[in-house]
This record gives sequence, structure tokens and C-alpha cells, in this order.
Amino acid sequence: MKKSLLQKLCCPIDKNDLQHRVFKEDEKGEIIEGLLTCPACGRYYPIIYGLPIMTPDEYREKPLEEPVLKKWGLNLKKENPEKFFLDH
Amino acid sequence: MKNAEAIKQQVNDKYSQIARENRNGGCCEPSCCGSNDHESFDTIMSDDYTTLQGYQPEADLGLGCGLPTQFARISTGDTVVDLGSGAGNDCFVARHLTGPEGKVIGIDFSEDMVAKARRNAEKMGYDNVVFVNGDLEDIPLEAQTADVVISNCVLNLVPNKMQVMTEIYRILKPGGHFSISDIVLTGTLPEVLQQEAEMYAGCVAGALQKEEYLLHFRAAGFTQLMIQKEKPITLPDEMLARYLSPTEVQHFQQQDSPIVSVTVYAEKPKSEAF
Repeated sequence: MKKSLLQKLCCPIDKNDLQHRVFKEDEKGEIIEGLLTCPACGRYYPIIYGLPIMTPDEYREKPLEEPVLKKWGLNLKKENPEKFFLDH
Repeated sequence: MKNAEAIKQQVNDKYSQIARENRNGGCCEPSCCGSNDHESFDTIMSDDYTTLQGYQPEADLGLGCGLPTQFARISTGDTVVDLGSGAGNDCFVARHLTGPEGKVIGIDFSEDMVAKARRNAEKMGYDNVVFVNGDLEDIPLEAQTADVVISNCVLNLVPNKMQVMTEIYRILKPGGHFSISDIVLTGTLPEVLQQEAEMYAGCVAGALQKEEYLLHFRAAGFTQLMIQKEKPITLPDEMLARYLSPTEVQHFQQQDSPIVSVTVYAEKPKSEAF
């Protein structure tokens, strides 16, 4: 996804602005892998294959996301396994 | 009716499967229409896109029920948001209208669909068409992002329609507008059809009565509400026979079809009235 899309995205749950990290870009500078986090609620939304995954908690697939997060050196919070929060 | 979460999961599963198998279906799935053939499906709900500029056959899974882009009054340079963008069909037609200076954002609940749509955008070389995996009840876009919102045969799949309409209002710029094609009802559906989640994923059981549908948009704050196009939908006997007795099928087919595809237009006022 283009970086200019970042300023149009917000947390789907509380509509706050998101912070972002980029793990992989292509030659045009588009984000292929990255992470969006909401500073207000603490949820994370991964960008995988250039696509922001921003569905609410109950429709997310943890088993699919966890290996990608691991690859980025990130872990899910153990104490709140039903929510999409990261261990910082 | 199943609970909202179960229904959404079922809709997601169904459309993800369609994306993976690269087939037509969905709003009236091929098996219930008796054929996997594109033409026969077209005759039930879809309108013909093939003459439109920006049309890309691979992005057309035959899942729509109207041509919102034709009525959406999209101008060069507009930011267009397509709710339930599927494989990207309407996004690419919209992109033709916005030109390279505009932006098109497609949102879909199915990860497989957005992945497919992204591949299609790459093939077409459109770098101003982007896709986001998101829920229409909780749209991950900033307020006042869109000049135009379009959606083709998707809102009926969403359990909480009022929330979607409120979200559309939020993401539209003041003075922006939407043109949405959808399925609504103008009479009662037999009880058994209302309860079938399978019919839900096929767009029929989740449809609201037309008046209620329009009232929802008014309640969300929209003005200049109008129906741009209206077309009755006839369900094939073979599909109905899966849920109804032969007598009931005959009775159902004798009345005017209570299932109608509509294209609805409305504007967000330039300044808030309150």
C-alpha cells in the first residue's frame, strides 16, 4: 500500500489516528509489510502483502498472524490472549 | 435468524471461497441458479459491465446487483470509497472516472477478496487503487475521506445496517454523496426463506423492506435521497424448490416479486444542520 493511505486510515474501533512501522517496502516505496498500532486502545493491525488487515477482533485469525508477528520480532500479550495487543 | 457474528462469519467464509476458487456466485450462488455459467447468472441480478470503460473481466465475479458507478456522479480527481469491493470490479470502473489524479479505496470483509483485488490492481498498473481488509460496521477510514461512496449488493449482507449508514455518513466529506446498489424487499418473504442463512449470503434474507432501508439513510442524516434505478428480481424455481414445496413455489412466483434491486443516491449536507 502507498504511504499516502496511512493518513486516511484510523482505528476501526475508536477512530483514533494510528502509528505505523514499516518492515518491508518495494522498489516504489510502497509498504509490503508493516504494523499499525492504535495508541488509544493498544490494538495492532498488520499490513501483510501490502494489505492492511483491519477487521474487528472477533474476525481476525490469530494463528495466521502470529508467525508474521514473530518474524517481525513481535509477540502477542500473553495476559490478554483474546485481544489483539502486543507485548512491547 | 442466527446471531450477527455467526452470519458475518458465514458471509466471510462464502465470499472468501468464491475469491479462492475464482468463480462467479454470491448474490444468488451458481448452484442455486442451476449453472456456473456467467450469462445465466447475469440474467438474475447482475447488470452488464462489459461495455464500461475500466472494466476488467477478471475482477468481475458476477456478484453485483446494479451499476453504482454509472449513477455515482464521479468526477476527475475524486476520492471514491467502495464498500464491499470484492475482486475490485467497481473500483476499476471508478478509477477510470477519477483518472490518475483521483483515489479509489476498496474495503472488503474477506481477506481473500482484498488479496485478489490487489493482484488485479497490480495487473492493471493502477497505483491509486488501494484495498483494505475491514468491516463496514467499523470502517477503518478517517472522517471526511470520501467525495463519493459506492457499494454494490453488499449492505444487505451486513447485520447492523444502521451502523453502516452512520459510518458512510462519517467517512463522506460534507457535500459528498453516495450511490449504492442493493437488494431490498417490497413484500414479505416466506418465513423459511427469511431464516435461511444460506439465502442470507445470497443477499436475500438479509434485505430490509424498501421503506425501512430508505428511512435508515434519512435517520443517518442524508439528504437529497432518491432511487436512481429499480428492478424486480425473479428467483429461479430451482432455487426456491430447495426451501419451499411445489405449491408454495408456484404461489411465490405468481405474485409480483417482493425482491427488488435498487440503486439509491443521497448527499451529506455541506454544513451540519445541528
